[in-house]
Amino acid sequence: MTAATTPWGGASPGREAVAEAPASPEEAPAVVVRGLNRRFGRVEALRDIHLELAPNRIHGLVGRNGAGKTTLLSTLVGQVIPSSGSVEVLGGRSLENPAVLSRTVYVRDHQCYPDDMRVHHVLGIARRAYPRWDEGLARRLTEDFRLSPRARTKKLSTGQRTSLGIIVGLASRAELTIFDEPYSGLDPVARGVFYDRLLEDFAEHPRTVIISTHLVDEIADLLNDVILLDDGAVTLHESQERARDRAYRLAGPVHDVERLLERTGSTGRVSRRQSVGSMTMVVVAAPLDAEAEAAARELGLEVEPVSLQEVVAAMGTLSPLGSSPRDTGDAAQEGAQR
Amino acid sequence: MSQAAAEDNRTVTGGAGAGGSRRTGEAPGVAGTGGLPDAGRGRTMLALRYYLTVPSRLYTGPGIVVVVAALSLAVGAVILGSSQAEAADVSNGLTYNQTVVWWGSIAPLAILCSAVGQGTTAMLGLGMTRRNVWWGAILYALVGSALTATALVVLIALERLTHGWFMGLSAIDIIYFGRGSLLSAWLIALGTFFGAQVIALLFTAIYLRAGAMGLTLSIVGTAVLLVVVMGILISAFSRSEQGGVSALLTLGEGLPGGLLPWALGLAVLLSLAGGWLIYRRASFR
Repeated sequence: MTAATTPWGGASPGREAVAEAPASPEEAPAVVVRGLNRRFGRVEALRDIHLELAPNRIHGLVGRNGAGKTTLLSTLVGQVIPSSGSVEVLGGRSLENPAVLSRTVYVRDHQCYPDDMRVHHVLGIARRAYPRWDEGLARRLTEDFRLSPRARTKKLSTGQRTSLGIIVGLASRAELTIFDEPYSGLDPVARGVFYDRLLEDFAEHPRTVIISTHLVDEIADLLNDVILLDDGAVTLHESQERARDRAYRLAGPVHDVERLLERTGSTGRVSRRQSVGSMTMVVVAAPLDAEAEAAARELGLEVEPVSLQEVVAAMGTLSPLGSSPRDTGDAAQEGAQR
Repeated sequence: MSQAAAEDNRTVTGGAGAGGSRRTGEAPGVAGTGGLPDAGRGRTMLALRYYLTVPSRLYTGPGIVVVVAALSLAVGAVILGSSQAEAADVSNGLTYNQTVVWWGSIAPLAILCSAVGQGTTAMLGLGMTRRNVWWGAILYALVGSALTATALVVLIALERLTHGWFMGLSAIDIIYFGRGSLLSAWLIALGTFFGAQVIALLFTAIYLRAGAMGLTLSIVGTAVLLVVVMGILISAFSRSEQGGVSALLTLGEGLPGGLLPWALGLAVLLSLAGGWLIYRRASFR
């Protein structure tokens, strides 16, 4: 078992994350993961994951391609069998446990259906699978996404197939609802429909929702909590607001910026750097403490918060096993979106 | 609606345990699985419904049997009409024709394997377990095979009633089905169609667990194993008085139906158990 390290120096990021995860004592966590590892041959897809997800919140699972997001989500609902470690969902072991799994729905990216099935076949089965299924919502979403119930699933475009998954996920009202990259092929209007309907329905029927995504900023406002997965390990698990404080942007004359970075020991934490003439802008993947802020003001430097997307990109760029910080351009952000 | 509004609403209605089950008055989530109804059996029936949800799947077996039987009969009629042969001779030749057996097995198994292969992750995503999906598929194979066998037996009955479709041709009541009672024909047909699907499900499970390479290796391995076993058996029996294959066939003389049905039955049972053992430990990324 590999003990993962983080840019923040923690030897066991998962445990650190668990300690910081928001969960009030009277609410049993919806998901509890302990020491989870999963190998596929030589590839270590998940490394020593420790997680506790509070119930009735929307959790965002973010990370770069190949970070292990789909593997982690598939493991939560028992579709992938862990190499070691334990997974508890809604108070019970999820693997082959009908009492637990019947209260979950997992909508995959590019969900595959048998070629001969039609949209109404899929919705009909989902209706029977979930006692709290909302037929009215399913109908409304079908209209919103302009899906024909008679359409064959194999004829659906990528976006329509994604829409079908979203309808199943939302209308099921499952206690644990998991969306894996629910944006594939969706146009901006359809994505807007998804966000609106998710929030509306969540407000009326709270449940635990996990959404994995690359489009961090687009869904940032939906999220209560953020889990950052990098190279199979959890490197961040915090409320969205606190996660944003994990990085900041610093701008000003090159000389002054470098001086400040040296004074605060943050030189090695620069995830992104853009320079024009004598001016430079850097993103520092570290919390801005009062001392650094005061020093920046003293030097007349601009200090700004960054978006959640930039936090994710910054932490991904500074990962021990990730690529090294880039000197120019938008490399970190490109990497996160690739 | 904004996130803040959602938060507010959650504050009002929140406080429920996992998934808000207390809010709706349903059984709360508890540690372990105690206190919760066993949803397993119902979910297996749900998986069966998933397979049955496309009606054309279920009718393919009977449909293909009717079409192939009609084609066989047409071929027999053409031979009878275009040659000097007696109806009895043509009919005798037709009784060795097994196209109805092969097509009645192959078409449904292709549909079932596709439904399982393409539908597994969707069914698991809807909260079913591997056990539900697998045994739902087995139940579906049983239902589909029973329907196909019934269609076949109806055709046999009609053929007998019409004395070979008024031409004296026996295109469906073939030697393979025993030419005995309708019940025995139905059982043989059921066993054949069901067995073929179970064996095919074994290879589907191998594909889902080990991918295309695993499937290829397992098919080649099975073929090699069969050749080796047959070679060893024939070699062992070649020293007997009758020698070789004929001696091997006498091995089943004491068994009803002979050796072959029992060997196939064993293969089906092994496939049933092996398929489940392989499928239950498969991971679906």
